[in-house]
Amino acid sequence: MFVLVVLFVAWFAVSALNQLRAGALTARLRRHIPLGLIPLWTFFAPNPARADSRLIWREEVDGRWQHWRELQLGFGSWRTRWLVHPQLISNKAIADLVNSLLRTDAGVDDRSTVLSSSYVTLLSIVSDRSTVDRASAVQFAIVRTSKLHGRREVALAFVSEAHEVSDGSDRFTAAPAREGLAHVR
Amino acid sequence: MFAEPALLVSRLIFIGLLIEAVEVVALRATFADGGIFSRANLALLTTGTRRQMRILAESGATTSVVAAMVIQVFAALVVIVDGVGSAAGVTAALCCLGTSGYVRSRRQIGGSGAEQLTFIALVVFAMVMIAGGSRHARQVGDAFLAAQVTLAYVAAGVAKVASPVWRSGTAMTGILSTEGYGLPGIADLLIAHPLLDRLACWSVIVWEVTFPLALVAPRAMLVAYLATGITFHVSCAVMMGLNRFVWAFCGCYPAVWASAMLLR
Repeated sequence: MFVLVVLFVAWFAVSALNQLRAGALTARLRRHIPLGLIPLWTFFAPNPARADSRLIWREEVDGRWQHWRELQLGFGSWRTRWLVHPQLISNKAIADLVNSLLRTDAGVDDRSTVLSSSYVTLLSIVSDRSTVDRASAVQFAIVRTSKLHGRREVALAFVSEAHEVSDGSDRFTAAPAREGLAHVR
Repeated sequence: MFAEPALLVSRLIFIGLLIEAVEVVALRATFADGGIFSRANLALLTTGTRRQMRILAESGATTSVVAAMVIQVFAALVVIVDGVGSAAGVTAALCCLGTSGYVRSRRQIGGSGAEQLTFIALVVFAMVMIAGGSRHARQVGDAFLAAQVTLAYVAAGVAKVASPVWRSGTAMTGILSTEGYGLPGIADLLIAHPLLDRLACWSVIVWEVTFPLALVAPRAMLVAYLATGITFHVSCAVMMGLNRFVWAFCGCYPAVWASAMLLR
């Protein structure tokens, strides 16, 4: 019983410290403890979601870039989503990757963003959706859309490098294609 | 919730686990090759993380995930019917811990605070059982969950107070204007009546920040805080589609109640 109490007190203390998002100890613990057992409870704060993040991508076929296409995961119907809302999981997954990517504080000439797990995963997700065998390169972007006062606003949040796609495969190479890195902040 | 397993409200988080299973099964194709939760994507996502963070992240595709969720459905049903006071209920709850943990690891991203609290509750239950599962151990588990729920509300409230958007009373309009969390009719109503938005923002802030009072205030006030919480989470489910927060947070209210009674 004593051990149980000590464990719970320690767990709660680390959880409380983690809310401050500060301290080397909690940061180290977060890296070691899996499955979100050290929670961060902020719920739409301090920056509430006021725009939808959309993942768009395009392919280069026969030397020409095709139109941008959007990764469509759908949104739950308001009639059923109060009970069952699977789209929340898939949309949140993309939002998690996007937020992680945009948190990467890399300058325009700094290519470390390209090595981040969120960047590579987003690139893999759009590469998996390639439907054209002859595609030679792929590029993705993140667009934020909002609709306030009946006015739809679109803002470009990030543009990836263009990545060559291996022959006969939908996998990409790490080397960028002809276009350079373009960040939009 | 663990100390009084016979209470029906002590089983609410398992309704959330039932819904989680249905949702994951609906998304089963996303776990296959080429899906956003494919093993290849999970391998990329967890590259460079520590070994314990990657356990099961790349294990199993659609069939394994669906099988885990089918087990979770049956296990959650056993707890909903039988509670966590019997051997069958305890086994079923521990089964839910296994299946829920597997899917959390297998997915890594796309989780919510509701999922996180539910998983923490399941881990706490397992620890209570390892400690013998006595009434005292269950009360300690309840106290920890009550503390986590209180911390969750206070941290969220303080984060909102620190936010100029929340303080200005425009946060709800912004959130409800999105496609992901929005409801156009309500957003339009808040745009037409900004005072309503300000009232909603500050009501949430005040309720969250002062939630610890529920643990020590007179019983009527405790009832009022929890009733407000139920209204808040049901509203979030209806307006924003945050469906599982109802079952996760309200499911921990019996622990808040039991702990508040102990403090009296």
